[in-house]
Amino acid sequence: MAKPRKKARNPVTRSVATPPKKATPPKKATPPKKATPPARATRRRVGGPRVKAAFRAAAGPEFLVGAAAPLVLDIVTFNTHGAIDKSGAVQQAVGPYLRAQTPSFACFQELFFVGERLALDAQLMGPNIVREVLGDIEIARSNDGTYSTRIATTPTGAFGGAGAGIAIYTSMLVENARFIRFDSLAFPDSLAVKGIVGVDVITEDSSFVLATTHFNDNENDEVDGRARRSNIRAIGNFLASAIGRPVIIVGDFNLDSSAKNGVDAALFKDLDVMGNRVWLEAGLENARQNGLARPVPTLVGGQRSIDFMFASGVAGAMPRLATDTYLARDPFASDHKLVRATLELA
Amino acid sequence: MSRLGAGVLSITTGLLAVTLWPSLAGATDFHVIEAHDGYELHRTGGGHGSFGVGYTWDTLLTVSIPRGFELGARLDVLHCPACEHKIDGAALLGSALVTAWKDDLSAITFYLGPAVGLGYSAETDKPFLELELQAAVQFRLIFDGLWIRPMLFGGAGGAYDGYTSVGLRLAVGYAVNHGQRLAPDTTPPVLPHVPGACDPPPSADLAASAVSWIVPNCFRKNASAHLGGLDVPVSDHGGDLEIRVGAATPGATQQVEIFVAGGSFPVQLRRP
Repeated sequence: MAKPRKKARNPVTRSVATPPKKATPPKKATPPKKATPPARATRRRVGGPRVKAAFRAAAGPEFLVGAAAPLVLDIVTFNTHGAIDKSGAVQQAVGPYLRAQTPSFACFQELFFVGERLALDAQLMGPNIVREVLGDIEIARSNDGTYSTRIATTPTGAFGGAGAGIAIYTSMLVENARFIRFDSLAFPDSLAVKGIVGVDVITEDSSFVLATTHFNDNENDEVDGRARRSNIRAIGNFLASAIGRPVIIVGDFNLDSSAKNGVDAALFKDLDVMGNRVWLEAGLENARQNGLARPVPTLVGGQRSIDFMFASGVAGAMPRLATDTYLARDPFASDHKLVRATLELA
Repeated sequence: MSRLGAGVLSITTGLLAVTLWPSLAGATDFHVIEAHDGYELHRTGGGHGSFGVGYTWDTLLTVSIPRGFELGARLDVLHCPACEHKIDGAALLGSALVTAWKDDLSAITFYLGPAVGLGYSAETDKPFLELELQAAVQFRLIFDGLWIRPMLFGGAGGAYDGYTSVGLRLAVGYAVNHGQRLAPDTTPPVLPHVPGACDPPPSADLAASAVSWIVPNCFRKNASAHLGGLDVPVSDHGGDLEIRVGAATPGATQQVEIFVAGGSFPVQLRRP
């Protein structure tokens, strides 16, 4: 008899340490603090090349939960159109913007083929990159780029098919990189091996989970949304590893949050409660804050909004979208717009 | 335990495993009624046809390998042009095909597997055992339930005294539980429509002689607009966004992009 379905492929725990850029020694690991809130409850803006967490977690993430001051995170998600455009033009266009802006996390979709990933590495990580493959995960490290760490995935589809195409660039300390492959629709969905890649992000006094994903294509899912519903279930399974911690999931979800009815509206309702958590979606929140009847489109020349930033807190603490920080304007030669927002995690 | 008891237990366990395995794995299955027609060439010369009806259970497995299998049964009648009776006998066969590459909604899937069966030929007045190895490719119309499944097969045994053969069989099937296109449902959106909110339309009509286009409720600080990719003036019209698009040639269509709230809405502006 066959084994039950395997949800996670090699979800091995691995540390991805931020390479030291300066001679600053890492703080010595200290025993976990009590639940006493810190004296100052100021906002902490983290990320970017100049504000790197030098803290090296010696204890597990469970000891690091419970920060009182909100984390302020500048995040980008961007679909590079890599299924069609393999020229590297999008990477060349978006590279200077990200080098100048240095958001804490830059998450990508449709880096389906190795060359597309390497072209973006060259833009964001400089010339001296060390790459390491650990099962389903490929980690790139650099000391002289905009970002010090890039997490991507290794499985590819049959007959020269694509990989998952998703990647996370950051200079924050991350660990436990993992990939959960979606069940279905490798064919004809660009022959891709789609899924979700996530990391545990470690800051001085807290931990949260950040992930990026690319759902199956709705054009190949016209029956009843079953493939994308299966994608949502897979995210629910992924979220089991994030109990008790804030979560941010960004990416191309291939369903329209501005749909007023139909399969997409039903699926978005499922997304809105995935993992039995309460979520803030940046595009929807931006619409609320600005009195729009629907989120701004994230596709070039279209009306659909399908690139999302979901954030969820713990113990009833709701994340916030910082006012006037949501951007979905510039496509950088892609067919999607780059989506950027500043989220505050309590 | 007696041998009979052990056999019953073994068969029951096997059937239970086959039944539960795909359901535990989250399989998607289809029940298909098929019509078969095949022709095979014998190694020693000549050939004969067969046609019949069958049932196939086609399922997806959400494990890496195998990705799916088909269990089928078919009843064939034998067509023998050289025999005394053209309809010379019948056979009942079962098949078990597997695939290593299949997805829930795959339109094309390759299968490989054996079929075994028993039959009777009037020409030889003998029952016979038949074994086939089938390589099949399945073409499915997900929404309409129809499928076509050509099968190349090599056979051994059979009606006419131990021949070996190769043949081609075509199965035309109909999945009684095929996928359904759903009518738009009435699930309310997460973001309810708010009266008075800015909602630029995908397209709009504006008289060719008009010089301004008003977008209700859409004036915001830092709002701007492009006409054909170039900046055009905008102003506050009592909370509405007034865009100076200028007069146009009657019948023209203009592309307007409204920039508001960190994003942009494309609008096709027809100028009748």
